[in-house]
Amino acid sequence: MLQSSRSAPFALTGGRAGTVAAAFLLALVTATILAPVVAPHDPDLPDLFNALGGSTAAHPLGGDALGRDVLSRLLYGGRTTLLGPVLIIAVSTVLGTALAITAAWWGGKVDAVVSRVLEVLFAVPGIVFALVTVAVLGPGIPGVVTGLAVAYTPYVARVVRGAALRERNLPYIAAAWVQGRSGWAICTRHLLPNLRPLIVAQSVSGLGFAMVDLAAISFLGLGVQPPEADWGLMVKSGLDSAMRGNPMEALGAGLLIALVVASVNVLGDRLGRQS
Amino acid sequence: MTLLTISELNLAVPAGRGQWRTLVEQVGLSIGPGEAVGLVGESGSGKSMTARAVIGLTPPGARLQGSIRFGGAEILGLRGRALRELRARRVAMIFQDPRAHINPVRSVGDFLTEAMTAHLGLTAKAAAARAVRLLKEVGIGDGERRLRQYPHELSGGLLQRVMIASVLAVEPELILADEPTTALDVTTQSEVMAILDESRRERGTAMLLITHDLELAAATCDRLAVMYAGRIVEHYTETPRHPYTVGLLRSRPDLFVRPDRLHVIPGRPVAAFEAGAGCAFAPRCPHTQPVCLEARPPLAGDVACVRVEELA
Amino acid sequence: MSPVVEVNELRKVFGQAVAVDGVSFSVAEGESFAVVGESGSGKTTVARMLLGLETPTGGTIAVCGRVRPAGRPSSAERRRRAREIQIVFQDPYSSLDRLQKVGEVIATSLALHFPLTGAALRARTLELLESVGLAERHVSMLPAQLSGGQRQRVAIARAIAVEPRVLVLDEAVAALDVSIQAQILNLLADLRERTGMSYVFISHDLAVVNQISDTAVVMHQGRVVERGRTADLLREPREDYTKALLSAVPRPGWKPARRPG
Repeated sequence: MLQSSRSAPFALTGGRAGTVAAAFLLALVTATILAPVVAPHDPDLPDLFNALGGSTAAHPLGGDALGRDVLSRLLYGGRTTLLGPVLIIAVSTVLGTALAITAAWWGGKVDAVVSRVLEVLFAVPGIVFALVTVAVLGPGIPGVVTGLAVAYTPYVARVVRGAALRERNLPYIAAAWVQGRSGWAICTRHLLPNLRPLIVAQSVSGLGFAMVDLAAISFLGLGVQPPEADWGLMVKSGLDSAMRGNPMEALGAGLLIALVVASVNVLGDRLGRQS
Repeated sequence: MTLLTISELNLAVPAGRGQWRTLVEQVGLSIGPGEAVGLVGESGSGKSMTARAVIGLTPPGARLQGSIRFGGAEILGLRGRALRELRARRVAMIFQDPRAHINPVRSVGDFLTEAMTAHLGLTAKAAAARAVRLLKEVGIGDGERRLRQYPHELSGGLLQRVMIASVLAVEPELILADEPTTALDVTTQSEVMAILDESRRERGTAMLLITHDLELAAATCDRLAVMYAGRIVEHYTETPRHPYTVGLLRSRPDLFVRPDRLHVIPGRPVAAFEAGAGCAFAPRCPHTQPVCLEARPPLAGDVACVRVEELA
Repeated sequence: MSPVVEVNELRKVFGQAVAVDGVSFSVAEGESFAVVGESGSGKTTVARMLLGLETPTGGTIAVCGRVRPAGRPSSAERRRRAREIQIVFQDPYSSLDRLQKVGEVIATSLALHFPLTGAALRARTLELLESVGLAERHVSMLPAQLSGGQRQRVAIARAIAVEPRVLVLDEAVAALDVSIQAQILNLLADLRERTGMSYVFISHDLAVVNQISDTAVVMHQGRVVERGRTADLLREPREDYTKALLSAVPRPGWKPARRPG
């Protein structure tokens, strides 16, 4: 979503693909949560004997330039790499949905104002938001997540607003209105539940974009700060290591990013079809 | 000599896990050249599916059995080029919702002339001139202007007339009209039916009118076939005898007589796959006896009711 | 007796198009009143204005003696109006929330207007469902599990749950099968007899209008072209439009006709 023209990179579909994707994500999330238990080493402990080392029994994926265990860093790095997109999507979904339903319910001037604001937000590239919030809040996860959450909000709002407008014009909403139900009750008890499948599908697809954007920002050095492990950062430092002997760091982190993005896209696509 | 003969037609669609849902059961129907036959029924009766089977417009994976002969040749299961030729020249269909069947991004002129240039070998100019004449025939005066318009600029009634003009353009031998006036106003309905009627008398086109409206079918067709739960329960021309048809006619409100309560057929219409072993109408019929529940009554003497003689 | 609905010089303009133009009528307590017209006649717009779903461009609407002020009503005001006037829509598929169970639909409506809870709420819900010909087994069903006729019964139960004085039926039987239409028309006749509600019946179907209404207006291009007792309107129509409408209805011996000219 940093470049808004980007389309879903994977068109894998079918029942089995969805199951495989869900199983992969579940396993990955479990592994990162259990990192302190399953990781073979301390991710931040340098070991000069393992620097740029190849695959050994003790270090299956070898070591990075400082000799830190790559496998352990991938596992711990997954925590920040996966949590960041979840936060971005959670915040942008709540904000975007609230804006969209407000606009659809009130219509008229409220809708016009919301639509104009969204158009302005669309015109600003996500990375600019991230730069601004990083400038204010300093480099690191909070600043980047805030910036990208704002940048993603109009995308959520646009899709949800369209669906909410269609739903709002159905007679059952008019019936609830005529019955004297409050606008709040109609929006939260009727509109929102009926839009939920769409919102869920939209969020899951967004996760992939958020992850790539976040990794890109970390790669630029504005996101997660070293020495903390992060897949985006690992791709960056790993490129250097790859030229000096051990390609595992860059390959592992890059491959995981690609697989997670592909998996959430498959899942989002499946959920979107069901909604 | 008949034009279309449907015999023992069965149609089922897959319902998952190797199960089948029967929508049409043992349907037999024939239409002579220039004849108008009404195929009447409520939702789920299978009337539309029967008509669609004639031109191969059945749902994906549908299982068809029986025979449909048109002009002496078997057309059930026709595919590819042969089916396209049948649809292009000999059998045409008019749908309830013309908007869903006319390409919205192409002009009325393109829609009308395409078939004429492709199938009748007319030049674009000749086709346009003929389209204007056809539009006039279906009651649309300023044809030249209409040809440049797009479907969204036309009302439902006008669009349905354009659809009819496109059908008349290829001079088919049979028109399948599936609820052609249901979405239209009554005054427009009257006009559309008059246009169809006129073309039938002038060109000798046969018509199968599929409708839920018994009165409309009775007023515009030579004979009627009434469907219930996938089967034809009765063929008639003047006076219906099957308890379902009789009940249906009696339950319709009247323009001038106002009974305190309308006659009611209890329950709801069912589809073929929902019906039990006996007469599908038995659960709603006021004359049901144990014999009715034993087996599907055969279509004997044009009425599929074992008690029809004693009830008369 | 003062009329329960009084509409005066009602007008509605959408952009350039005049949908309703100077429509006036009144409906007496307990009367069944029909608004007859074809598509584009403005009949549905009139219904929507009666319910407050559209704001009139001009004219006044009074329901139960209270003139409706302009502007978006508060939800307290809407709750008050709900007890005065309710509506049943044409499409039984989109007029119910597909995620709401039948019992919830009715219970929500009841709880909004009456101090009912627990067993009393449940009992009243069942009573209402039974009054429209549904049973206890329908309580836990979703709209998708019901037929069109059953859904329309739920929509009627929802409307009468708040015990309104006026029920607007906007083509409420038009989408139903003929055999179901008769059942619903009889149900509506029974309900009116029992509750004394007034009906405003919006329809294009003259035979249905004859069955359900006492008086009627015929609308054409936003205006009322003829009014009177329904039976008289159908037997001795005076206006050309009413005559054309009547002669277009298929019946034994009827021949479809093209408009002259």
